[in-house]
Amino acid sequence: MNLNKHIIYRFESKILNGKTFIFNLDTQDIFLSDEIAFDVLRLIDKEQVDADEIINRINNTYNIDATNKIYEFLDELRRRKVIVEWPDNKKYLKIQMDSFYKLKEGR
Amino acid sequence: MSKSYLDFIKQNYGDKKFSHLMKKNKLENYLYYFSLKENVRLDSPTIVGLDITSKCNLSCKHCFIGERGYKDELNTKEIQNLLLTLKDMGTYQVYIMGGEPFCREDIMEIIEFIKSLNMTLSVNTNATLIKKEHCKKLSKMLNNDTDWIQISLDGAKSQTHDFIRNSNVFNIVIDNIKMMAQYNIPIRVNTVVTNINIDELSDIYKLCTQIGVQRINFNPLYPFKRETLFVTPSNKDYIKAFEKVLEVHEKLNKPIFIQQDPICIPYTVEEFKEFFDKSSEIVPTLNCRAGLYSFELDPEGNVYPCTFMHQDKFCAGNIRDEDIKNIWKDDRRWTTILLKRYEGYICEECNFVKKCKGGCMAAAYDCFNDINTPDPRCNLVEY
Repeated sequence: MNLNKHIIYRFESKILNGKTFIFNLDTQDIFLSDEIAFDVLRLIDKEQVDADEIINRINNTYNIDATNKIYEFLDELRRRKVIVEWPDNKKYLKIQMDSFYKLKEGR
Repeated sequence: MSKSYLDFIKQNYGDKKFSHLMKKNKLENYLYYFSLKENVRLDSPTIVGLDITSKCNLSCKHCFIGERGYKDELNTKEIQNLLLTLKDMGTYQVYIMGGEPFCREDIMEIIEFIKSLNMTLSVNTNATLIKKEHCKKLSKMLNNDTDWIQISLDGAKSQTHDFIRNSNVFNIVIDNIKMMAQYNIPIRVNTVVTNINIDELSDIYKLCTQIGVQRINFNPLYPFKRETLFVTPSNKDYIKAFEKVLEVHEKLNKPIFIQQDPICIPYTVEEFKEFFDKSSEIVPTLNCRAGLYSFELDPEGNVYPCTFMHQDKFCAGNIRDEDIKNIWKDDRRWTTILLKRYEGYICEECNFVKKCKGGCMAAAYDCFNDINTPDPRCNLVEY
């Protein structure tokens, strides 16, 4: 999982009680998220870690269970073309394969 | 009076024909909107200017850089380390200045490094030292929508340009612009408008359409208090000359993008004030961002709010002594800017101060020795 090279992201602690600004320089798409989003993006950007590792790290850092939140966020990142590859993760792979077989079988 | 100039400002900022050339503005305007609303400095600068050398092959009559006399310039590694930190902080735009940047032997290495970090880039140059080898490399590295080489062109004919530049370089500059255009390098021309060249603006524009320029900016001379040969034109004269440019611009099938920097728009004219007051969402970038969004570095690593504030009083630190993250984050070092006030000053009486924030602090300091005074170009000021 890699960050699209056109993406600019930054966390502004003093704006709207702390917001991550995510901007696609190519498509001009811009959206805001929270501080966890910034940590997720940094992990993808700097360490290219997979979804499981992101969840582990975020859960440990914030001492919460952010699993669903992170999956939803990764989904949004994919839809908005912020990340350029589907997460190399068993859960996502299974969803992909299921979708593939459904399509193949005409369901 | 300024009807067509106003129309241009309105249209230019929403013109879809040129929207691809304004890609990097959207995030900046967005951040600007929120930070103004909440009255805060950003956690990190969006844009940083690197003054990488004071060396220059010309001695232009209006230039002040040579007077600064830097001796111990940052080396390549120091500049690269700074860029890595800036990237990590979230800075995404860099502009390189001098002196003449192409006087540095490592200029291409620096440019290559900036582009490897996916930062947007502009390089201010007099274009006299650019060779074919530079063009070959630049054409591969620069993004035509978000990067540019900014070339100073101060006249449409050699007499004017060469008089200001104090050298016979006009023909070299034009030939080099043509060469760069052949390599599809994005070129922005910057013309500093003075009493000497104000009657040539439309001819400069015409010339640029013929030699492959992509963008042009007409920048009224910074109002130095010290004696110079040049005079900053009045708003009235500036607008009149600009409207002649617009006449040419409107008639062309393939006009070039007139990318007026917000600081170059004479917002102190009454009709403009009214428009900007109502249209902040279209042109939300009127006041100076120095120290709030951006900083500039001199060749020896000193950090200042902007290029016109290279004085000890405004120096926030030196990157050789400490991390730029600390320098930026410590608001106490930026207090001259953060504590700018209008109470007791003429700006207090003006409703527009909410938009312009008093204009250019550096010009105010240069003229009146006080950043709290209004921009000397403001028509409220008797200067």
